[in-house]
Amino acid sequence: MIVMILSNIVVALLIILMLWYAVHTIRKQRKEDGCGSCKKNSAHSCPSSGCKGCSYSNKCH
Amino acid sequence: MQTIALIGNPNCGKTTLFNELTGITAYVGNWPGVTVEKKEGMWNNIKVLDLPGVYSLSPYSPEEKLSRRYILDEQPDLIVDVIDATNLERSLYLTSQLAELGRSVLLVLNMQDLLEREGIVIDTKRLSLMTGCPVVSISASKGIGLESFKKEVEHALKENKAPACPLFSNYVENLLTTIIEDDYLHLIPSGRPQRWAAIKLLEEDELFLSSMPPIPEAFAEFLHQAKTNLRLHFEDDPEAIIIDQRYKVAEHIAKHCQTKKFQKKRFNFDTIATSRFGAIPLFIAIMGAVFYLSIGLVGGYTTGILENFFAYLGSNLSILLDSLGVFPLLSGILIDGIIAGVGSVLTFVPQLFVLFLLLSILEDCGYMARIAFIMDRLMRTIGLSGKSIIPMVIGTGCSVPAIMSSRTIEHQKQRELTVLVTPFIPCGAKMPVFALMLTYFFPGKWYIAPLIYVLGILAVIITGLLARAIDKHKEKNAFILELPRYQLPSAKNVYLQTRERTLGFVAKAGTIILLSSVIIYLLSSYNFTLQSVDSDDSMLAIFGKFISPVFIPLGFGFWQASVALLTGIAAKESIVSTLSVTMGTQALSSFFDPASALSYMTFILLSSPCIAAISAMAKEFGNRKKLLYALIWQTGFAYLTALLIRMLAMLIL
Ligand SMILES: Nc1nc2c(ncn2[C@@H]2O[C@H](COP(=O)(O)OP(=O)(O)OP(=O)(O)O)[C@@H](O)[C@H]2O)c(=O)[nH]1
Ligand SMILES: [Mg+2]
Repeated sequence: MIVMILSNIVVALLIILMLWYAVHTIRKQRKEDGCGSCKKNSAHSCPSSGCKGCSYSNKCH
Repeated sequence: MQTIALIGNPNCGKTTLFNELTGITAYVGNWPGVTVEKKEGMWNNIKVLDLPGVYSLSPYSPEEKLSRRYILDEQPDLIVDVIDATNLERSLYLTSQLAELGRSVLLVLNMQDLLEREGIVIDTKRLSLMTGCPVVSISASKGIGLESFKKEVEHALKENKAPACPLFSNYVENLLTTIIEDDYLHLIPSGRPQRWAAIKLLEEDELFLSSMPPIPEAFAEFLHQAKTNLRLHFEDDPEAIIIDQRYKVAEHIAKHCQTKKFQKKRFNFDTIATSRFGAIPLFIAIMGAVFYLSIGLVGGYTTGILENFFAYLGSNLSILLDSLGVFPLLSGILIDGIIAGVGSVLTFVPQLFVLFLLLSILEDCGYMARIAFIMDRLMRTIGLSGKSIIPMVIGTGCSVPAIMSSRTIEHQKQRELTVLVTPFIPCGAKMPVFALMLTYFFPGKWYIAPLIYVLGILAVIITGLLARAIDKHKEKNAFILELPRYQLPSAKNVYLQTRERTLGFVAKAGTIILLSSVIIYLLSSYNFTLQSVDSDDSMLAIFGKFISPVFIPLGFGFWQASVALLTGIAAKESIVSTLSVTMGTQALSSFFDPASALSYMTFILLSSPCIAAISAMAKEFGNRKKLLYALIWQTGFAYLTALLIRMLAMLIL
C-alpha cells in the first residue's frame, strides 16, 4: 500500500517537474525573444543592441 | 565611455574581429551580408559596435542604410575601417568616403595571413601617409596582431585626428570650393563637414537632401548650372563622376602601396563549381552525398536502435509502474505521452547532427555562396534577387533567421517575395517527419530526401514566375554577387553552428514537444465527460474529424493526421510526436500508403511554417494583409501540389 502511494507520488511529481520545466523554459525563451530581456537596460537602443528582443521587434525601446 | 564602430566591406571579417574582442559569439559566415543588424559589445571599457558590411556610404538596402545612419548620426569616437587586405583597392573606395566625415579613422588590414599565399605585399607606412590614418595589420580569425590593434585604438582615441580628405581632379575641387562658400552650407547639422555636404549636394543624395531645409532659389539655380557644367566637362552625370573620382583615388593609393607578385595559375575548383554545365550536376551530387551520409547512412543505422531503445524503455517502465500500482492516468502520461512523443523526436538527433554538421561545413568553406552564384541568373529571371539565395541557404537550418536575413535585399518587391518563398525550403524541424516517412514507406531510398529539396526549389520558382506574371516589376539594381574565397572550414565556426542547431532541436523536444505530447495524450484518451475511452471516441478525435474531410482527396483524411498538422503550427517536430502518441509509429502503415505518405510530406513541406516563422514573416512584411495573403498562398499551393503528387504517385507506384 505504502509502496503504491509513494510510487504514485513520485511519478506525479516527476511529471509535474517536467511540465514545470518545459513551461518555465518556454516562458523564458518567449521573454528573450520578445522585449523582456532588454527593457530593463535603458542604455540600449533599437533596432538592435545585441539583445535578442530587438532583432525580432523594432519597438522595444 | 568611448565608442568605436567596426565598418568595412561585406565579408572582410568585422564580426570575427568583434567576436574576438568582446567574447560574444555572433554569427560569422563565409559570404557577404551575414550581419544585418548592429551589435554592441564591451572591450576594455570601450563600447564596440559591429555593423553590416557596406561597399559605399551611398546606401540602397536597409542594412546599408543602418550602417550609414549610425556612422553619421551617432558619431562614434573612432571609426575602425576593417579592410580585407587581399582586396585593398575596393576597400579603399569606402575608406575615401569615411575620410570625408572628418572623424578619426583607423585602418585595419585584416586577413594578413592570406597575403603571402596570394603574393601581395602592402607598404603600411606609405598607406598611412597617403590616407592620413593610422594602419594596423591583423588576422582576426587567427588572433594575430590584436596587441598592436589595441595600442593603435588607444592611441587614436587619444589623438582624435581627422584623416586626409581624398583629393579629386582640379575641376571638381574648384566646384566644391565654390559650393562650400554658399551660406546654405551653414545649415547642415553640426558635426558634418562642409566638404562632405557639398559632395552630397552634387550627388543629389536623397537621404541627405531630405534632412535639409529647402534649397533657396538662387543657390538651386547655381547648383543646377554647376551640374550642367560637370556633365558637359566629363560627359557623364554628376553621381557617376563622383563615383569615378573616388575610384581613381582608391586606385592611386592601392597602386603606390601594394605590390603583387605574378602568380602561377593554380587549379581552381570554381572552373567546375560555377561552370555552365558542371555546376548543377555537382550541386545535386554534393547534396545527394550530404543526405546519403546523414539520413541514409547514419539515419539508417541509428533510427532503428533509438526507436527500439525508447520502445524498450516504455514497455519495461510500464510493467514496472503497473506492478507498483501506479494509476493508469499517471503512467499513461509518462509512457504513452512523454516517452512516446519526446522519444519519437529524439530518435532523429544523430542524423540531424550529421546533417547540420555537413551543411555548416559546406557553408563555411565557401561552397554555399557558389550555389548562390549559380542561382543568381535563375533567380533574376523569376523576379527574385541573386541575394535571395542566402535566406534559402540559412533556411535549411531554420526559417526564422533566414527570413530575417532577407533584409539584405534592396528591392522591396523582391524582398517580400523572398520572405514568402523562404519557408518552402525544408528546415531542420521538418526533417524528422520526412525521415520518419522515409523509414517506414521507402526504406533504403534515401535519395528521396534531396528530391524534397528539389520540390522546395521548384515551389520557389513557380511562385516567383507567377508573381512576376501578375506584377511586372523591372529589376534595375546591378548587384554583382561576389564569390568569397574557399577556405578550410574553421573548426570554431562549424562547431558553434552545429552545436546551436542541434541543441536547439533537443531543447525543443524537452519543451514544446513535451508539452504538446502530454496535452495530445490527455485529449486523445478522454472524452468530453472525462471518461477514459478508446482514442477514436476521444475529444481530440471528435475535434479532428471536423477538419479531416478536407484532406480526404490528399489521402490522409483521418483525424490523427489532421491533428498532427495542427500541432505542427507550434513546432513542426510535433507532427512526429503527435502521430506517435495518437497512433504509434509502428501503426503508420495501416493508415498511410506510400502515395499518401508522399502527399503528406509534400503538404508539410509547402504549407505555412510554424508560429515562430510566421511571426518573423509578419515582421518583415510589416502588414497583416500581406501576411494573410502569403499564408493563404503557401497553404493553397501546398494543397494542390500534394494532390498532384499523390495522383502521380498512384500512377507510378
Ligand atoms: N583567413 C582568414 N579568414 C578570416 C579572417 N578573418 C575572418 N575570416 C573569415 O572571413 C569570413 C567572413 O567573416 P565575417 O566576420 O562574417 O565577415 P563580416 O565582415 O562580418 O561580414 P558581413 O557581416 O557579411 O559584413 C569568415 O569565414 C571568417 O572565418 C582572417 O584574418 N584570416
Ligand atoms: Mg558580420
